[in-house]
Amino acid sequence: MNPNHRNEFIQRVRAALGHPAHICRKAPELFRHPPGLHAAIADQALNRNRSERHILLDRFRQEAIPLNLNVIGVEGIDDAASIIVRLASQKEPEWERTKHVVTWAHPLIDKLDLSERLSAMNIPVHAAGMNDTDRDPFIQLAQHACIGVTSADYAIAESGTLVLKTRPGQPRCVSLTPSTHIAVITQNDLIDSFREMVAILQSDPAEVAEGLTSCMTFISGPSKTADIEACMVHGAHGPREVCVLVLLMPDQLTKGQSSDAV
Amino acid sequence: MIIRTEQYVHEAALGIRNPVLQISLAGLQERLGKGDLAAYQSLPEGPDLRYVAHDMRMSNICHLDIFLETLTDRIQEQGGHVFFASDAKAAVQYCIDVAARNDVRRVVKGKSMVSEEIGLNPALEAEGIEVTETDLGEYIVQLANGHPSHIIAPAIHKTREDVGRLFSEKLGIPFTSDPPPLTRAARNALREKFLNADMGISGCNLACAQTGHITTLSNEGNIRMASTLPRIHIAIMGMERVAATLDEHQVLLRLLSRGAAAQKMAGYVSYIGGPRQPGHMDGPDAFHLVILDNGRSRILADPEFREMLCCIRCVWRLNVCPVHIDIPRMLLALRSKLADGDPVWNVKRKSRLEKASFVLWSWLVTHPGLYDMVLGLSASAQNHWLSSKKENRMISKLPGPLSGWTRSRDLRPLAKKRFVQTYCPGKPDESESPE
Repeated sequence: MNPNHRNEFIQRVRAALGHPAHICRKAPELFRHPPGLHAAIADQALNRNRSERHILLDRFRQEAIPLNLNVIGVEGIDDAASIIVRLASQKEPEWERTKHVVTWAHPLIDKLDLSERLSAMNIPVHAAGMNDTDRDPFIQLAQHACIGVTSADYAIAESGTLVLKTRPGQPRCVSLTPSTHIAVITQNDLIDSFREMVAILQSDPAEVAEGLTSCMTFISGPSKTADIEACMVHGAHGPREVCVLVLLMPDQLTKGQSSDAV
Repeated sequence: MIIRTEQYVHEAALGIRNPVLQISLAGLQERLGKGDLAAYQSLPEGPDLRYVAHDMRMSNICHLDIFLETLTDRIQEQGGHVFFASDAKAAVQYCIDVAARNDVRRVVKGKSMVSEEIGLNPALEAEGIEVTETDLGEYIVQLANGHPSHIIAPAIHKTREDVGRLFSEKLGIPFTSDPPPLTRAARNALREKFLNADMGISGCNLACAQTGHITTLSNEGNIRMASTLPRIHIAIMGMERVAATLDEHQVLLRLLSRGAAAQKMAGYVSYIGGPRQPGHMDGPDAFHLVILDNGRSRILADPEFREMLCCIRCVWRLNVCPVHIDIPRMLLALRSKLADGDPVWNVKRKSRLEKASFVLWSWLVTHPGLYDMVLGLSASAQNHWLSSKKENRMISKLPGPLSGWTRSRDLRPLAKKRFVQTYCPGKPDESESPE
């Protein structure tokens, strides 16, 4: 009847708190929020004007510096694709003799047309399938990939953090096992804070319907460790480098902005 | 991990003489202690957010039954399994059973203090299961057959040369004492372990009841690996580690990141709510959450100690506590329970004599005339117990029932002149009784 021992456990907790052990307590008010609060914060976050978004991008760049996170503004999808092609040609394979790239299946990533662009260099590109049920074949591909390309649901300026939900076609390992992780986002994905993020997640109808998914991940820079004499080393288990390509909104482009150092 | 008192004395003596450990610990304290305080200042809500977080945690704890049930319902709806373990033995047995049912041979672990608490590694190894710690510090300690010396810096007692020798012996790489190639060697060795593991085990930093997710934090990415690549993921959480809502959770998460490593957000945070869903190409097929009591409900039942369960294990203490727990108050309560006895905790008063002495002492200090007389007598009698060494005139051994005070330390002798005599020479004596 109760193989996970839930009842006796919870009864012990209730008794410890001084409540009758056998009466189930409910307190829905503990989960309620001031009405309209989330919607108001989300509204502000999602409807920033262009100059406000520009300030956010600057802040994101500032926070990224100490994290060793490379943020590059790009003019358009072609610009983003050519930076990825350049990185793919420069990077040395870490796990195998030959290089390959894994990507999410995502509208923005599909537009990069990486398969075509990298075929000239004989670098195969493997996009995650949308309907696959077997997990192993794709993990096998991702585990020794040179570059993994994803998008992100949000980029949080206050801490230089990418937020990635898990969906069909958008597996977690693309941002985890490759030596370099590249995230392509639009400037509209930038928000200010975690407070804004949780407000959006709880008020936007599509987000509410989807939930956090079985795994929502925050990524703030490349994998790192300081476990040997407190000496900081990047690339402990996850990617050794992380690069965020931000598709700029047209009127914010200034000459030379897209050619930041890679 | 079992540490006996006599071993502790020996280990402590070794640790105090270990220059590497001393320098590293001082560095850690200097860097992170101050860094934390600076990080709190940079909070958008200001440093007082720690007091707000304290209230949140007290509310979490005072409604723990509700939040644990909500968390459990959500995780089960999302296809996860939840097991409630009343003690360490039940938690360990559950992990062994899951491993046995799934023919698990190899386990990769993320750093988890609660798994140390329940002694999980030796129990799994006794079943013939290979257990690999994957946090670099924990891995170093495991290769050296040692124990972690610090929660966030488990291998802080090892020099880079120690690690170089260890890796060259155990991993067969040429000796180097340079951290980047050493880290690379561990990355390579552990990547193989991740890919071949049948099961991943992690702790849980903080769960969110409302959404039904646990969260794990790391900087290396090892916990993401352990919870993404193997077919089974078991997360073990102390029952107090649950926040009510996503709003509270994000506040506590930011404070935890600042408190643990002076970061605005930990390098990696995963909200895990269950096994992989249809169409997902990675993530575990099965997700198990083990919620552990192991004595926590007794702490919960004690109104004086309940506050201890607010702790979110950032590893620091009062000055930089991210949820501002009143540690001095609890230490006093602990001291008084140990001294006076407490039927709830099955503690008997240690000594009636001690109690009587304290009553006498508290009476004495309110009678300055007598007090001065007693101090004067003691000061002239103390020479008998002073150590003979010129450079160290300390009291090393007190007689009879007082000997407990000098068992593990030396006491300073009483000063020849009292404070008042030294600093207020115009007032030679004010020893009239206040009555």
